[in-house]
Parts: sequence; structure tokens; C-alpha cells
Amino acid sequence: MKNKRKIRHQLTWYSFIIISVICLVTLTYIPMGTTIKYSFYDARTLGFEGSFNGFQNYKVLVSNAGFVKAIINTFALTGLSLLVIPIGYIFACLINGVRNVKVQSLFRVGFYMPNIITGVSVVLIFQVVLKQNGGLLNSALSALFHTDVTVGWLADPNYAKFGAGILGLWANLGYCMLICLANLQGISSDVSEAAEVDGANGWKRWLYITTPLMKNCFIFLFITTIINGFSRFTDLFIIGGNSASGRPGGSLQTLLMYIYQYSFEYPNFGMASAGAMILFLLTFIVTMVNLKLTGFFDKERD
Amino acid sequence: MKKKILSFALTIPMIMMCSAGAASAVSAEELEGTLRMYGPGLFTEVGAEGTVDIVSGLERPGYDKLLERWNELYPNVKVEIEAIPWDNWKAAVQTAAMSGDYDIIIHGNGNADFCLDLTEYIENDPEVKDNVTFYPFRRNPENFTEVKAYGISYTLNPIVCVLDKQIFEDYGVELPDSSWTYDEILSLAEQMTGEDPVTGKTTYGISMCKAADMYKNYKVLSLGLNDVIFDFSEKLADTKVSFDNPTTVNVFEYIQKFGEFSSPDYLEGLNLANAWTEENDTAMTWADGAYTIYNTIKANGLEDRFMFLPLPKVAEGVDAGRTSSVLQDLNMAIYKNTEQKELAWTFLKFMLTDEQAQQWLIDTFSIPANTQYTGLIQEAMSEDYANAIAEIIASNPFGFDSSASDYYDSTWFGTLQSDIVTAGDMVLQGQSTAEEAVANIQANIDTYISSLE
Repeated sequence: MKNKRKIRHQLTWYSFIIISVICLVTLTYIPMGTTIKYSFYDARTLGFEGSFNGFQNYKVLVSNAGFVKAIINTFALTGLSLLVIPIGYIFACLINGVRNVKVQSLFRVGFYMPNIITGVSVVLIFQVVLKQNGGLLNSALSALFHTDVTVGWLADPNYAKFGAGILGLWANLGYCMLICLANLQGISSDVSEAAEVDGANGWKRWLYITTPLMKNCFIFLFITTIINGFSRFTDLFIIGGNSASGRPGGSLQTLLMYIYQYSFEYPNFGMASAGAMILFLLTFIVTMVNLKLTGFFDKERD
Repeated sequence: MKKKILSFALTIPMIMMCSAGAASAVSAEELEGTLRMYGPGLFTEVGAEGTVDIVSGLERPGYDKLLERWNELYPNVKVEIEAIPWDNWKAAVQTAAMSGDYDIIIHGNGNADFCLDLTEYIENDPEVKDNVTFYPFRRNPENFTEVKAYGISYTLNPIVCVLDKQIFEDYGVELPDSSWTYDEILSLAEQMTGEDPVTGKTTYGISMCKAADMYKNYKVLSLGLNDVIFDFSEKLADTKVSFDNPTTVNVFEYIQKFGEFSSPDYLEGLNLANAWTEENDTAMTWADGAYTIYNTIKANGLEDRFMFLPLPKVAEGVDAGRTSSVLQDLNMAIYKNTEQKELAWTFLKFMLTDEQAQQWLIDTFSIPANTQYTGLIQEAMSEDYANAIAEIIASNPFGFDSSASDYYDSTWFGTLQSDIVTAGDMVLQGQSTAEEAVANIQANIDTYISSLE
């Protein structure tokens, strides 16, 4: 009797989360399970079971030069996008140093503005800025160095990653700055004031006190930036002329774009699912390594 | 007596024709049901009530007009259209077909798993068979040597060459005709790249189809040079693909050479903002969407300045002498498990043969696939434009469809289409030679095929 009452009592509480659990299972875990299953099948048409082919899809993908290139591109572009963390942090520190609240708000909004502009507009603007002939950046560099600079920032396969890096940096700087700023403002001033009493100058306080205290913020930004980098798609798709081939010359084809081809352009859902599983594994491994290196698990144990 | 016999002889067939007409009218009225259609394409573009073209300001009637005509003929057959955008359309039409809720899959012909083989319908219907030169053929996945029509094209979209007659005149270069060759195009492009002798502006010889659509340039050139790369076997795994051959190298060399006479913006993959305007700076431009281009030129009041020309004829092989201006299409297929196959075929045939339906296509700036109605294009456009389109449709290699040809395939060989775009881009940028591009693609194809074994 007592148990029954206890169970009924618990069911009341569980009923509050039942809808969320059903949605999570139906919309996330079942599709995830289906993706895992499809990755071992030759499935070209949705609904048709296809035939089981073991690790064949994985084998084809890892032995395909295009897929390997897509992985390298993804890591390179993600690596470049990580630059947003130190730059965002520096901007956050500079803005944090502004004492006038109104001016500080102005900078906060100003830097965050690119995040609320749609990706398509950003790409179209940057196609003009990074244009090879007569582009804004090349014109500025030409004026600065007194020589004709015609770098194909988005057209030359050798430079396209830098061009896409600049674009990504501009688009994500505001978000990164805002997260850093919020964390900076959450740091207690006690330690810093104590160091000041001990004779530490501003530079030393920033380097040895403020920056180490931002570690958790950096871990968060590092992981989210890596996840976003690995799933980068829209801007590169538009740069390529609404093509997942990663123009120019496949230099901007990320793993997700490669998978997209098999999902929507030449449907082979088995291959697409295998690609998605590889992407998941890579993201998981990088995240775990990052957490391990930053001592996240040690802290959990403590 | 003779008169009586003659009048009797004439009356009998007349009565028979009338009764046949009445019978067919009755049978049309007797047809009942609801046809459900799903897919992307023209129906999405125009919507139910029509649209206004933002460039030209011209109005396009919606599909309600088409359905009005359909219901005049078949008052008891309701047609419901669920028009979707092109985004992710392949997966969307697959899902729709699998639901079993639709009888007609718009642009669904690419998948033999769920589309009905229409060969028998076409063979038994001379009204269709005799007037169509282009079918959206696909390979039979049960036997890859077989090519079948799993759909019917209702409108065509040829790749044309747009000539700027002004630039030709400024350089004192004679206008070519459709008997030209790719070498002549190259020579013309070279002649008209530089400083325009009259205006002093920089002009460029040629722009192929935009760089992101490099596979279209490949399709045109490979057909033109008769670059047969596939030797299909019953099983895909046994198919021989000889991509790495001297003719394919030649195809990529043409791409590379044409690129030398293209504008920097084209090479960068940017939209050619000045194309079809007063400021146009390119003598020859390959493009699809001929009707839209014509409307833009007309809206800009430049009909006299430009003209269309088919791309060169196929050099050799079974299609020698036919145009290499590849046709693309919008098509419809019948879901193979629908219980209304005959009714669905009636609608497909209506889209292809009814005169008012053809006029609706023209009014929506689409090119009818039925050669009997090519004349409507000639009424709608001036001859500098219409003649080229008519010639392309008439001289299209019969039944040639790039997805079921021996030159090119976008369905069965993994990322071949994307690989061609990438390789073509590298060649255009001078980052790779034609030989390297071809060898890389062959390696990818080999890997893919070996995975099928």
C-alpha cells in the first residue's frame, strides 16, 4: 500500500516530463538509431529497407579521396574558426574596461550585430569585400602596400580557407565577445584588488589572474566553436554557388557538405548515414580530448 | 445515283466521327476520381494564382488556369497539386511516394523504385510517341543496360549560347551559325577578348555555364566530342567506366582554354551582373533558362543586340550532326502502386498534348516538349531566339537524356557530378591539368565501383 502510494506520487512527478521524454525519444533517439542502422545498409530510397552491407559504406568513404579531403578541410576551417576565442576575449576585455555604461552597451550591441544578420546576407557582403578584382580587402591591401594585390580570397583554392575564416571570424566574433564579457563581469574583483595591493600592474593582473579565471568560459567556447565548425554548411554552400561541391576546387567542402551530397543530391542514405556517424565520432573524440586536457573530468571527481 | 452513293459514302464516316467524338466526350465525362500530385518545378514557381516576374514585370498564370481547362475536359476528375520548393526535393518526393498518398510525382522520374515504367503507354500512344523527341530516361536498376522512360517531360530547358551581336560587330567578326565547331568558338573567344575597338571597354570572349554548374559544361562538351565513357553491364558493379581517356582530357582542355577568355568574375564564380544588359561585356555566354534570359533581354529593350545559337553539333558517333545543346526538362511520373494509373496517364498526356495546356506553358514562359507546338515559341519570341530553340529541340539526339546516356551520369556513380565540378574548377583556376583532373575522377569512380562488388 505504501509502495503503491510512493509509485503514484513518483508518477505524478514523472508525468511532467513524459511529453519531453517522448519528444526526445521520437525526434532524437529513434532517428539516431535509424541513422546507425542505415549506415550498415545499401539504402538508396527512403522506406525501402535496402540490403545489409556491413562496413562497406564506411570502407568506401574512408578510401575516397574526396571524403578525406573534406575531413581535412573541416579540421582546417574549424582550426581557423578557433581564432575567434582569443580575439573575442581581447575585445571583451577592452569593452569591459570602458567605464561609461552607455558606451559599453553601444559596443556590445555593435559587436553582436553580425549575429543577427542572416547568413546569406553576410556571404553576399563578403563576396564583395573579398572579391579578387576590385574587392574591398584587396583594394585596402593594395593601398597599404603600394602594389596591386589580387588575392582570390574566396576564388583561389589556396586562399579560400583564409577567406572563409575571415568571414566566420566576423560573423561569430560578437557571440564570443559577449560570452567572454559576461564571464569577465562575473569574476570577483577581490583577487585582482589583492594583487594590486601586492604591486601587480594591470598587464600582470590580466595575464595571471583574469585570464586563468576564464578557463571554464574558454572550455565552453572551445567546444561550441568546434561543434559549430564541424557542422559548418550554409555560408560555404552559398560561396560555392549553392553547391555542396565546396567551390573553389573543393577547398571549402566540409564533412557536412559531403554528407549532404549523399542525402539530397545523389540519394544514398547508407553512405550519408555512415558519413554522419564518422562526423559524430570525430566530434565526440575531439570533445573528449579537450575535456581531458582541460582537466574537466578531474574537477568532476573533486 | 452517283450523288446519292457519294453522299452516303461521306455521311457514314461523318456519323462515325461524330459518334466517336460523342463517345470520347462521354468517356471523358465518365472519368471520375481525384488525382493527387506532389513535387517541385513549374507548379511551385507559378503557384495556384500566378506570379509576376520581378525582372521583366511579366505575369505568369497560375496552375488554376490549367486545371480549369482540365476540368472542362474532365469535369469529374479533381486534381490536387501539392507544390514544393526545390530544396531537398529528392528526399521529399521519395517520402511522398512512399506515403502512397499521391498518384503523380512531379519530377519523380529519377527513381525507378517508385515510378511506373511508361514504355508501354508511350508505345501505344502515337499522339505522344510521334511528337516527343526528349524523354526523361533512367536506367533500370534491375538491368543497367536497359534505359526506360519512368516519366514524361512536359517542358524543356535547352542550354543555348547567347551571342552579343554588338561585340561581334565592334570587333568586325562575322556572326557564326549553328554549323560552328568548338574550335571555332575558341577562336572567336580569343578574337573578342581584349579592348573593344569601338567602345574601348574590356570585353571577354566567352562565359560557359556558371562555374558551380560545371557539370553542365562537361555534359555539353562530352556529348559534342562524342566522349563515350560508360560500357554498362546488367549489374552496376560490372560496368566499365573509362573516364581517363584522351577525349575526356580534351573536354577538360576545352574548359581550361575557354577559361582563358572568360572574365575574372566568371572565374571567381560570381554572378555575371551585367549579362543581358547594356553593360554586357561577354561575346558568347552559355546558359540554360533560355526563356527567362529572353524575357530579361526583352525587358531591357535589347532584343536586337542579342541572339541565341545552338552549341556545335556532335562531331562523330551515332549522334553525329545532332546538336550538343543539352536539353534539360521538367517532368512528371506516375507512382507505380497507384490504383489510378490510367487516370494519371490521362493527365500526363493532357499536359503534353492539349493545345490550351501548351499555351499555358508558353504563358508561364516554359518551352513545350511536344514538337507539334514548337511553333508557339516562334510566335512568342523573335526569330533570332526562337529558331535556335526550335533547332535544338528538333535536332536533339533522339531520346538523349544525360542521366541515361553513355557520356554522363548523375545518379549511379557516387559523387561523380560533384567531382566534375571540383575538377573543372581546379582546371579553370590553373590549379590542375586536364590529365590530373581526369585521373582523379577516374580514381574516385574506381573506388566507388569496387565498393559495389
